[in-house]
Amino acid sequence: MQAANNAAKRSEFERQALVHFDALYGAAYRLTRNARDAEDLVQDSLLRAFRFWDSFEQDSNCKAWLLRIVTNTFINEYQRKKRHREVLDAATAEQDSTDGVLIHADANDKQSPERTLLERSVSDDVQRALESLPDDFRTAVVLCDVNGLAYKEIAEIMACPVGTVMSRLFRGRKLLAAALRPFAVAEGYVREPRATAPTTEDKPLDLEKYRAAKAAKGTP
Amino acid sequence: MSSTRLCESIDTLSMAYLDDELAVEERRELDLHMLECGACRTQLDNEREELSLVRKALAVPPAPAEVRERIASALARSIDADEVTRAREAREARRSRLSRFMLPGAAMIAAAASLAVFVAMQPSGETRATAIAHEALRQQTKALPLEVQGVGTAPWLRQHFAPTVTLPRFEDSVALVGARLTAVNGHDAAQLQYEIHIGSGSIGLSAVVIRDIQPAQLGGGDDIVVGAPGRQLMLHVIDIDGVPAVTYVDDNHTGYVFMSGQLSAREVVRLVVASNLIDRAQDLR
Repeated sequence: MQAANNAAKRSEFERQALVHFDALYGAAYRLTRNARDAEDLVQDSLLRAFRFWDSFEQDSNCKAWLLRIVTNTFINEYQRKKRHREVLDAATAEQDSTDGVLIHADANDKQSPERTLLERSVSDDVQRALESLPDDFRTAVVLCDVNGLAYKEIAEIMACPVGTVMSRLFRGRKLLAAALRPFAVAEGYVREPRATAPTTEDKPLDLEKYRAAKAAKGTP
Repeated sequence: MSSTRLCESIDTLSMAYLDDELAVEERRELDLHMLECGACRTQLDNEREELSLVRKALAVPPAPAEVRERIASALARSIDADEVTRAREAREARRSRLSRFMLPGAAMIAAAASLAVFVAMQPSGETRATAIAHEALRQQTKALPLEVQGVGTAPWLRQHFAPTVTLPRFEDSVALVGARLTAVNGHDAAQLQYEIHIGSGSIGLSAVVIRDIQPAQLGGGDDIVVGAPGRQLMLHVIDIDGVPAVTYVDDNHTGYVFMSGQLSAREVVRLVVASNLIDRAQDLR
């Protein structure tokens, strides 16, 4: 009886949740540093989702629900691990430098050759640019530009107002574009280096505020 | 003018425009504005180019099939492991129920004390069982088909095996599912199959009941004394090739061998101590 319930739960989970595999993998791939971490993150997130499957409201947005689990898991687990690793790296680097070992600027991780190879296969420039973003900016950009979610869905996942999502997106994209532009120019993706964006960085972006102001003034 | 309002908010509007977040009316208004405002048009073009640069860079290739398979099978394993954990937790809970059951009364305190001794001394060196115990255990591991199943099992056994033999009964979560007749070293015997319901699943427990046997014929292994002083009963824990079993011979020379592939010897002992065999023996006093 119980076993039958479990089997039913599993097949229902597979039917509704696993169809979003590519979306989850895409988000995980861009949130983490490499393919292997992405794989772990997707796996952890799916297991978590299965555990909480009973609490998922069946008529709500499954993809958004799953992506919230991915982003939360990433922020709670992986970032903590990463910070831990960075502390270790710093200690190792210090040790190495006192040993007189020359460290290549990119080889900031003590890791297996296999792992290094895996990381190299991911586009380094993009990944580095992404990693330089604050978590909130990166998450907003990934959910919008990798997963194609609407502002409102991102706001629900990140538990913040739509205006905050827009500001994070705007700044995240600007920082990314600035980091990517030199490579893009070199590869011929864009025509020329553009002057830095006009000084709009600190101006809040909020579609709802704009609409409210417009409604208050009345349409001319 | 409306143009000024649009120009002032061009960052917000161009972003929402490119992300397709504007209402139809807002979109049309901005389209019209672009026709007459070069600055906003340039701004929108730049934003569009930037957005396409970012999106192109972020595009993720679909996960390779082997990654997908690896994750799916790892997920299945994790879910299985989860279920095992839950079953274990349920078993722990059940065990604590057994402990509660055992605690009231001086007799059961003595039993609990001897169990503690037993746990402490495990594993002991020599746990050689008698040939009969050995054979009984071997019988149980063969998993032969049952001859009778369900609620008719007990009446069937009384009719075909022995009318007076006490059939083991455990706590409510343990159900007798069926039985078959057998023989152990020339003694008439019946193999009884039980199911212990725990949490989300169940695990098997089997008992071989052997007629007309002397306590010494089913001894060996570690002795466990249960009961109050003056009315003590002896259980034996035997271990054959890593399979633990508990044996007991009652006053009517009926022998019992209990085992479960998924329970430890200690857990089987606790079940037996809480069963009607020991209970009934206690009452005889």
